[in-house]
Amino acid sequence: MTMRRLALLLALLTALLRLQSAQAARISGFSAVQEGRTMVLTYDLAADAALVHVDLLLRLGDRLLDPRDLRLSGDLGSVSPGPGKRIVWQTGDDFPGGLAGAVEGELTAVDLVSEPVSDLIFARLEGGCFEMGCGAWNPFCEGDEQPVFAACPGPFALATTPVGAASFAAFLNDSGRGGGFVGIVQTDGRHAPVPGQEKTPVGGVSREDAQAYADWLSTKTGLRFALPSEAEWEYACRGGGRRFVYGSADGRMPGQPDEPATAPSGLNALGLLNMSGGMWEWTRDAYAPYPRAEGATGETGVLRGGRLGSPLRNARCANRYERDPLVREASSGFRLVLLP
Amino acid sequence: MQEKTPSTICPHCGSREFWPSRKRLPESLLGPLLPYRPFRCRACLKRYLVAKPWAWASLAAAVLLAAGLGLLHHFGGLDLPAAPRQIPAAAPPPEPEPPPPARPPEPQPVPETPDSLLFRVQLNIPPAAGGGKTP
Repeated sequence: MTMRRLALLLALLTALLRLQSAQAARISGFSAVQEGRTMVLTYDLAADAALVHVDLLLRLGDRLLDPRDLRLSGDLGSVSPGPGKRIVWQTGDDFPGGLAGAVEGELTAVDLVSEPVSDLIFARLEGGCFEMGCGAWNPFCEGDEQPVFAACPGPFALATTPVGAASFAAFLNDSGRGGGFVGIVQTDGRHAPVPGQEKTPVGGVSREDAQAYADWLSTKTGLRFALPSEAEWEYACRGGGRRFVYGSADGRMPGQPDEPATAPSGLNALGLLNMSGGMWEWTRDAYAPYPRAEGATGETGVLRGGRLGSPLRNARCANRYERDPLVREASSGFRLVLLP
Repeated sequence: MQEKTPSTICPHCGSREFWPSRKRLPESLLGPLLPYRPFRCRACLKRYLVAKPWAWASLAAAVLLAAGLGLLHHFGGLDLPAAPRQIPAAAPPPEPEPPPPARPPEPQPVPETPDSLLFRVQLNIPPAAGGGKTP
């Protein structure tokens, strides 16, 4: 009996250690060859997660090609780990005038972790050091985004989408919290998502509401959820700290900085949706001047990401929007981080 | 101490998006005694001012004080200087600063991360029979 208990304890400990040392997705056995008028990439993908976001960025010299404009097919986007993965680029169709020379590329793999209570998917990110703030690679900078400084957010996992209306309604019903939120209706004292908008990001949320949701979800699941710090949010928006202006696949968005954003940025290289131009997203940090001091405090909060209809310059990854944390504006929502 | 951001709308375009505007030299000399907070609209980039809550009470007190002094002077209760001091004309509202000119983005280096793989491949794709535009 004692031996069985000991074995069980050992098995539990082993499982716990495996969770702690969960490895990020790994690409191996890579090859890229030309087959006629196409380029074929093959690779093996190993990961502990059931799904991995795989992204391909291609460059011709200094010119980064927008993946959305290329005829790419195969094992891209959400991919199950395994050997013999294959991506086909119809190079000849994209370059009917021919292409002779070196093409450089980057194949990125990010673990995706599903969380059933919130119905969110989290992208596990390295959180290495990067230049935070608005540098010369931006077409436009504001005073509070400078100077650029080194930030090292550390490992974290960020939700690929903001929190949706259905999950937020469940939290409201569970916690007895009230208020008028975008995408949620109230009937007979119960909150419910507007039909057809269950996964649509909830709006009209204050930072205080968002933090209460993160606490509720942490209690429900036993995991640690929070709002992202400014550094985590910007690192993720810039595709892992790249010198990208916007949170799109190639860091660019169509339009001039003073023109209103007409469409959100879509998926970025890490599999995160609409980091720019979707809706303002709360961070957990207080608004403080750069370079951010450790544990800087303040009475106001920071929103990131811009929104549809707002000038495009507000959708830059480096942009910061100071706001009272109790204000519930229709265009304010949030996404969560899952802390290690 | 940082003040809480008030909920305000831009008087020029009605937008609710703004950020605090940098104080100009005369304004910064007044420090916390400045009776308003300057903002700049994120939509139209124009600067506008929002009075602090105590500013209206101070203005009312100043008007009452001036009216009282005027009445006293009118009825000879105070020996004020004969020539009234000229009040300088109000300065015209400041012109909104133009947005900085847009600079073209520089080439973007792509750092290698542990989850990514960099590669380089030589291609030799011949032109298609019809030719055409490239992305």
